[in-house]
Order: sequence, then C-alpha cells, then structure tokens
Amino acid sequence: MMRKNWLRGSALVLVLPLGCATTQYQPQLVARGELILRYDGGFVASAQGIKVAQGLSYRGLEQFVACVPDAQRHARSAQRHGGAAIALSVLGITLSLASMGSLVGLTDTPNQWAWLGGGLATGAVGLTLSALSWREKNQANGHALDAINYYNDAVGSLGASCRDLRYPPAAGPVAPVGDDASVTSQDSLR
Amino acid sequence: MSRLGAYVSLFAALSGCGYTSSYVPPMDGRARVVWDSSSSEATVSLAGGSLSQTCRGMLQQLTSHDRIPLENGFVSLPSLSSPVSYQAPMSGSEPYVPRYYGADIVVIHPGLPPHLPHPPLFVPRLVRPGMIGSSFSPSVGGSIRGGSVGRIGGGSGSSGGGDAGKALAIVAVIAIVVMPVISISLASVRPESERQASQAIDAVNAYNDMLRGGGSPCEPSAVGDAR
Repeated sequence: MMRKNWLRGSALVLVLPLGCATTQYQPQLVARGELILRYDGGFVASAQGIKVAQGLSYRGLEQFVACVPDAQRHARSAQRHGGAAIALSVLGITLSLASMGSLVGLTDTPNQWAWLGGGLATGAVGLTLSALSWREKNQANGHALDAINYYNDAVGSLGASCRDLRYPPAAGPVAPVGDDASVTSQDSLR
Repeated sequence: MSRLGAYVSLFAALSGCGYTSSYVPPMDGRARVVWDSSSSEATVSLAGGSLSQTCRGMLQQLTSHDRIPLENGFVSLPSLSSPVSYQAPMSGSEPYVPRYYGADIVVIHPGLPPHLPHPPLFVPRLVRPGMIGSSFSPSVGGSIRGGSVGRIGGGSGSSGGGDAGKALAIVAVIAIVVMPVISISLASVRPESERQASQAIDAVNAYNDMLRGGGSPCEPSAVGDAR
C-alpha cells in the first residue's frame, strides 16, 4: 500500500512540472495573413488555420515574417536561441545522468575520490548547461513573441501577408463618432 | 509553473538572464500577447482598449479563465450573474477583412510593407492613454509578477580515514545524486508559466473577436454603460 502511494506520488511529481495548461478559446475572426497564438506545450503560431512555427525551435517563423525586418530579426533570434536551448538541454541531461555513474566508484575504494571528484565535476557541468538552456528558452520565447507582434502590426492584422502584400482599403481616414461606430463594426463581418 | 521555475526565473531575472523586450505596442485598440521583461512571462496588452465589468464577465464566459495577466498585474474575471445576450462571433468561410481607420496603405516597394508613422486605428473612439487611466481601474486580484551507496569511508581498510573524510564523501554523494535531479528539471521544464500563457492568449483572442464582431461590451463606447 505504501509502495503504491509512493509510486503515485512520484508519478505526480514527474507530471506536475510538465503541466497541461492549453488554450481553450478558438479565435473566430482572423485576418488573412494574421499570426494567431495558441499554447499547447509551448507557443504555437498559426495563420489561416495552418501551423507556422512552434516553440522552442520556431522553425518557419523567420520565413513567414521575412518582409518585416524587425520581425525577421527577432524570428531569427528566436530560432537560434531555441536551437541552443534544445542542444543545451540534451547535453545537460546527458552529463547529469553520466555523473550518477560515478557512484559505482564507491565500490572501488582506492580510487573512490577520483570517482567522486569526476562525478561532481561532470554533474556541475551538466547543471550549468541545463541552467543555460533555461535562459535560452526564455530568450527564444521572448524573441518569438516580439517577431509575431512586429509582423502583425505591419502586415498580418491589416489583412496582408508577406507572400501577398496587398492591404484592404481603410474604412476611412478617421474613426467615426457616435452610433455609426457599432454599425461599421458589424459591417466588417463579411 | 513549478516552484523551481519561480526560483530559477527570479535567479535569471536577478542575474540579467531574462529576455528584455524592446517592443512597444501601438495604441490601436488591438489586444496583443506581449513579453513582460520583468517577470519573463506572456502578458496581455490592450493597446489602449478598455475592460468594463461586463467585458470581463464575457471574457470569463468565453475563455473559462478566472483571471487574465495584464501588463500591470492580474485582473480577475468575474462570473456574470445575469445572462448576457452577446453572442461570440463565428468565423465564416472567408477570412475576416480588418476594418482600420487611417490612410490607405499603399505598398511602394514590392515585397516590403510601408512604414506607418501613425498606426492605423482598429477601434473607433479608442480610449487613448491618459484617458483610460481615469476610467479603467482593474481590480488587481493577484500579485504581479508572478541502493546502497556502498562503503563510504568504510571501516575496514579505508585509507581516507577520519570522520571528516566520511562526511565529505557523503556530501559528495548527495551532491552527485541531487545535481542531476535539478539539472533534468531545468532542462525539461518550460520557463514560462503555461497557465499564464494560456490565459493571456485566450484573453487576447477572445477580446479581439469581440471587438471585431461588433456590439460587444468591450468596445470603448460601451464602457460607460456597462460599468
């Protein structure tokens, strides 16, 4: 019984940090080239219902936003940091697991300190790489959100896209005042 | 996000490891998910838009979240006590044609969007900064953000000898066991709060849908009536 509870508790500890929060709302009124975000184990950007890029790699984002220099620059950084984060994570985990192998040296009494020293050093390097991967993930996400915002501001939210850079005409030079506002907003649902 | 994540975020922020965004959203009335550099989390910028009590209730109804992370803190989303007649807009087969106010945007250099000195306005009668401060006071409901180890120094024939040596070996073993746990956690856990990111994205998508659909309680003109 106790063993069963322990197993359940361990499974919970393993699952909890991974989390399971995802977006629930599906946007309905999306402009032609607009990049829309959702969250499903990471940030996911899509346009017209097609996935464009997903964290952490953010592959494809740079190409999609290429016509907006600021967005392209951030997308490139997002992809670079994302790639680095993945590589550092893999190295960090590998070295950390390898460091645990040094515990077998405890049976080798004459060389015990060499084993332990090696394990400590390997573990410390692994930990450092993992900490760096955390930083890179953070950078990748920040750059990606900025890329999406710069792109949507200049192109996407205005109904254009880099592939087909044609903007719909403006509704007017100035925003209407009075009850016209709600009427004109309804008109845009076409 | 796990408690470990919070500690690491704090450490990262203190050591200058977090990403600092230079993006400033234009005041055009379109909500966005923006990067909050101080907390290294996704937050919502309303870009001059407003949040009436009814609007917050509608957001709660559409997204099922109980709060949204704004740039200056969390805002709670109350459940509406009375049914509201507003219907969430539904997408058709055609993409939504955005309605914006300003000059027509003309592409001069093919393949390059023109520079827009004045961002087009998406929301008529947008409450600009300075005006919004007096009318919008979000009830900030939360904080900002935010087997055997073998024979260690064993008695028989141990050349290391001494209690200090044993203690040191035990500390080394503990470190060797603990470091991988921390390391694997750091490498596998995402730095962002998944819950907060989902709340921010859902709120932005629902808010923009309501504004684009028209007749929603989130329009600046409805603020006075709804509150």
